[in-house]
Amino acid sequence: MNSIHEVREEARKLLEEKRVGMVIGYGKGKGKKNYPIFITDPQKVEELHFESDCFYNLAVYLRKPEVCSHGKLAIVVKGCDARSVRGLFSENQLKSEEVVMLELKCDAKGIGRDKCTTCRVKNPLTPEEKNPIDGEIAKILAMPMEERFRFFAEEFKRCIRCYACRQICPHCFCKTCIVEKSEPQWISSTPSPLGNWSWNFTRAFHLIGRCVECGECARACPVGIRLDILNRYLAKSVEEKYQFIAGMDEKAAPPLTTYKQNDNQDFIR
Amino acid sequence: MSMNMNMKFEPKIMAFVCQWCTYTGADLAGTSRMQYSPYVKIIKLPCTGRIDVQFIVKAFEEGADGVIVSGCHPGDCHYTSGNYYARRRFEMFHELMSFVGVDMRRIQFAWVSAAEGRKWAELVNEVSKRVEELGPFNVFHALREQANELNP
Ligand code: SF4
Ligand code: SF4
Repeated sequence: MNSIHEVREEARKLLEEKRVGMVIGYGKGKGKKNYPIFITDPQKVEELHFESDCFYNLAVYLRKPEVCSHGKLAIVVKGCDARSVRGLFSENQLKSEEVVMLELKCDAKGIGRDKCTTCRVKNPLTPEEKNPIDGEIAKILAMPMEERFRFFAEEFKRCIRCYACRQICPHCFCKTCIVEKSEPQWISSTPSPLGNWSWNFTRAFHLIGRCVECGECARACPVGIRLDILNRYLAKSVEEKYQFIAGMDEKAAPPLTTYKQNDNQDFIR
Repeated sequence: MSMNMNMKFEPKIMAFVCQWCTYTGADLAGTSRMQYSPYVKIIKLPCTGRIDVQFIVKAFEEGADGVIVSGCHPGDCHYTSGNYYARRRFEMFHELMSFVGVDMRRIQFAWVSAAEGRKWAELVNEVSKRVEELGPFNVFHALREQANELNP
């Protein structure tokens, strides 16, 4: 689909024919800002919009009980969001029969976020080229070890443990997050440099091969921690090492849930 | 661990090992009376597949200067494939750790079978020597002492 008009038409049909119980998309607020809307009434599909500031990754709503209770769902997706939905299929969090994707081509210009300059899915189904080493990653790689350590430790130190990054991420779907486990407590839950380091490290680790680089965690972070640099670097390594791009193939197992007998072991003695 | 004027730095090294291969290998090194560095504390786990990387992070949080992770060689896993899954996890752990600036000379992954008592002793000596040379993991341990600026 290329235009919002086609999306509205499709959404209307889906709702009228009761093929889905709810359509998740972008609407327009009074201040002309786009925000997520949830439509159940076919008369209201005209409220669907798609413009330059539709940066939200709506896939995060697909697993919310308030949304799931409406039965089958339709969701408006840009390329990055479509990757999330397919990622959720591949991890058996959703069944593909239960979700209709209304894909929109996104020129990624207006959104103007960092995530858009490195985007490879402007056409939702065909990744364009190899993940480039972007400037931010190159800057880190050029630093000596101690400087890298200091850079990230300073970033993580600012964390206030609001968990916005986790809440906004479609792939942070554990019922009990490791940071909330108390017996034993693996990660201190008080904002402190040490606990923050472990928290941010662990979250990045848990998303390896699963993060779709939608950039929402970095956008949501109220103190502007550069979570996006970590995610993009890991996505790039996963692609190099396992020829895997998260969320491209809904049938493909994420790389850390599988193995090959001849996987690299240069780093093992 | 802190260094004192007249005290030699004694690194704290944690080893997470699988019970079927490396633990038995370490036992063999012991019963064969091989001498090796005393800085290593061993924790036995059922399989390398059970070694969550969280253990390694925790070890550093609790003051370790180095970590060894070791289990059965590929093909020898008691549970057939635990070490294959672990290998990928460790590879990506390695990748992330180095990206955030942890000197990976402090962490060594190894395959040590039940018959390789000598390899175990050599591994421990090598890692101990390396970590001794690197000194205490001060940049990391300093995180514990630092206060959070937003939360004084
Ligand atoms: S960029 Fe952030 S919010 Fe988006 S999938 Fe990756 S970790 Fe989740
Ligand atoms: S959103 Fe930012 S401040 Fe909040 S927990 Fe995540 S990293 Fe920390």
